[in-house]
Amino acid sequence: MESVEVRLEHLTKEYNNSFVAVDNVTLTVGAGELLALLGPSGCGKTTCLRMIAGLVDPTSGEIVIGGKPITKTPVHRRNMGMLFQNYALFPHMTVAENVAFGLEMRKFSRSEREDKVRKALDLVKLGHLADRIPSQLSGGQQQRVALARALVIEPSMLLLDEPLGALDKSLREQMQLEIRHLQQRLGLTTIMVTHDQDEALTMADQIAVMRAGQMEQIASATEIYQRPATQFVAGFIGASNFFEAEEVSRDGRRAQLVTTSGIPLDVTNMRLVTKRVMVTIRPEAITVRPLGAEDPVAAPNTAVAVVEQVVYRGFMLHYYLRMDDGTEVIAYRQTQTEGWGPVSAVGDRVRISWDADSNHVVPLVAEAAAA
Amino acid sequence: MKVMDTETGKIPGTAGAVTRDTPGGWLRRQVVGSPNWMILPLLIFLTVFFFMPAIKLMLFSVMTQDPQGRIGTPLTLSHYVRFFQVSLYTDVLWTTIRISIITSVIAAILAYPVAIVLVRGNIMVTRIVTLIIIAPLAVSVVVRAYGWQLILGNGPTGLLNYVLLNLGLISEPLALLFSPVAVVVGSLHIFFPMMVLPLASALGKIDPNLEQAGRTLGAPAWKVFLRITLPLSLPGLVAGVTLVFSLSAGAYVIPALIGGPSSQMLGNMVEQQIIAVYDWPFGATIATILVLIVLAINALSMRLLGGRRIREIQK
Ligand SMILES: Nc1ncnc2c1ncn2[C@@H]1O[C@H](COP(=O)(O)OP(=O)(O)O)[C@@H](O)[C@H]1O
Ligand SMILES: [Mg+2]
Repeated sequence: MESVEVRLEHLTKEYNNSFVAVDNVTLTVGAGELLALLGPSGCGKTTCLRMIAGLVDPTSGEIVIGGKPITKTPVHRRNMGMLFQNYALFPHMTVAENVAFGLEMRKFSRSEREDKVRKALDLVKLGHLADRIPSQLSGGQQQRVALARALVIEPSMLLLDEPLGALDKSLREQMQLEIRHLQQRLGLTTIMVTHDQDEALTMADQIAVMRAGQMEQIASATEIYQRPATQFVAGFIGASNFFEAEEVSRDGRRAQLVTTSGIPLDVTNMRLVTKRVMVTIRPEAITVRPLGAEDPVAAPNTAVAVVEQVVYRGFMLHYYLRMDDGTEVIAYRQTQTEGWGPVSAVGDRVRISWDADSNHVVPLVAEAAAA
Repeated sequence: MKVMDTETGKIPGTAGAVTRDTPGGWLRRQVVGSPNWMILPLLIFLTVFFFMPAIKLMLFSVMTQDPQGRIGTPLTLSHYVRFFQVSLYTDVLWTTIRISIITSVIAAILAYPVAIVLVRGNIMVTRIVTLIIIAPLAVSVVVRAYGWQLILGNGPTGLLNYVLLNLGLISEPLALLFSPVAVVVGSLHIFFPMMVLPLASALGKIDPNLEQAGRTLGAPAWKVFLRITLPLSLPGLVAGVTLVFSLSAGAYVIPALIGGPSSQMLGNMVEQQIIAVYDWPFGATIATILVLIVLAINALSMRLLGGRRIREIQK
């Protein structure tokens, strides 16, 4: 199977001439890559995917696959493998008949069909269930059948719409790795819709974060997590603490900032030119220590807070803290970490601090719409 | 499959019979624990006013009527023999079956697009279509039959003939009224809702994702219909065909008013035998044969619906 590049150019969908569900989306998925469309419910992910599949007509824009525009091609000639959230297996056909459906439409001979169906079912390790009907299978097995049915037609690309949403957590994690493994082995260009950031981080080469029909950021998992482009992305992927701050002085990329509550910040990567910015700090970057007398009063990247809640999450402790001016702060601490000092309890006054490198600046938006 | 529910529903009192404990406990469970008893009033009503007269009528069909009109022994099957030996009677039987089959087949073909629009159309369309289908039910069958008399009238003044003649589509008026065609048209009009409603209900249960999955797998729209929509809507189709067939087989008003002598059906013959000829046993025989045909069709459809694949669809 030859991998193809997929491009969306200024793709827009307006429902009922009034509601813009997908707004001027442009993106490229490299040949053989998996791109995750990530965003909150209702942001237009499914609409986007369905336009690529041909199930929804775009209002404007172009879909280009392997260099060929396919925006006008009807669904049944697009040759795409699509996985639906509820599996969408044909209940009146056996597993083998389900998988053979696409081959029948492509007029393969009976013997070719049987051969390909067997191979596809072996690929998803379900060869022994060929004669079952879908309702006799577990959710995970049904999704595997759907995967075999989509792959057997040798699609030019794979479209997954929250394919694992209905599975329980451990099975979901297993299937994530399995689908990713298959996708990489086949070199199949894939777009996956999800609202689960862990799923996106686990599976994707590129993550496209969507919000209200628009693209916020398209980047690799590490890039998205470590250098979110906007406050929305920083809040949507993992948790973040946000401090509105103003520049005091700057020396190249190094800058001194001060937050609205007066905390001095030392920033090593001041990538914006604006004076007023939002600084985001990941909870795992914040260290919590009991307040000692020897602490410097106004050192940068540190503050005093009160522990409001401690949540035990297995290998992590989540601290919910409140600074004296009322700002809430979240800090994570690994349960096993040595030398982080004793565990602080609810009501303790603590010193929180973090590295200058942990300060990440994003543009300050008028509507503070963090997740 | 609401039509069938009464036939599969348990009769109250049979469920708890196997458990052995105090009679009081049994009663309490029956009355408080299970809602089955709520059909009791209906059951009593049906027993008194339907099952008993029906059984009595069927018994008449194997009895003899003496010259004074008294019905009694000896028991005999001679009425059935006579029915199947006289071609006048078997002709009516075949007319009945033929008209019922044609009516249900045409109804099914017409109902599919309507039911699909009903299920997949937007709310306004759905409401309007529903209204168009349901509204005629408010008008009595007799009134509608007379309406069809006006439309199908055989002379050049019949509404349909008048229009067709003036459009130049025909040169001679058609003889539609008092023919089997008129009966089929009239029955279609009256029984159409019985086809559309079960069909729409079955279509409504089909996950639209299935049809979309079929399309992404390479099936053009008509193949999606044949391979996915049609088989998945079979429960509704079978129910609709059974209903329409049963209702048209038992029709009386339509053939009487717009059928004419060539398309009299079993129902009309029952009436003739009992009211005109005053031959109760033979009238009962024809009625019993009609009931048996309808029961046979229902049994057949139950069998179809009980098949493995259709059971899967209904889950
Ligand atoms: N057929 C439709 N007609 C009108 N609005 C729709 C239709 N489908 C989706 N929408 C709207 O478009 C928005 C995006 O929907 P969707 O693409 O399903 O979002 P997501 O998959 O991200 O949850 C939602 O607000 C939804 O209500
Ligand atoms: Mg969605």
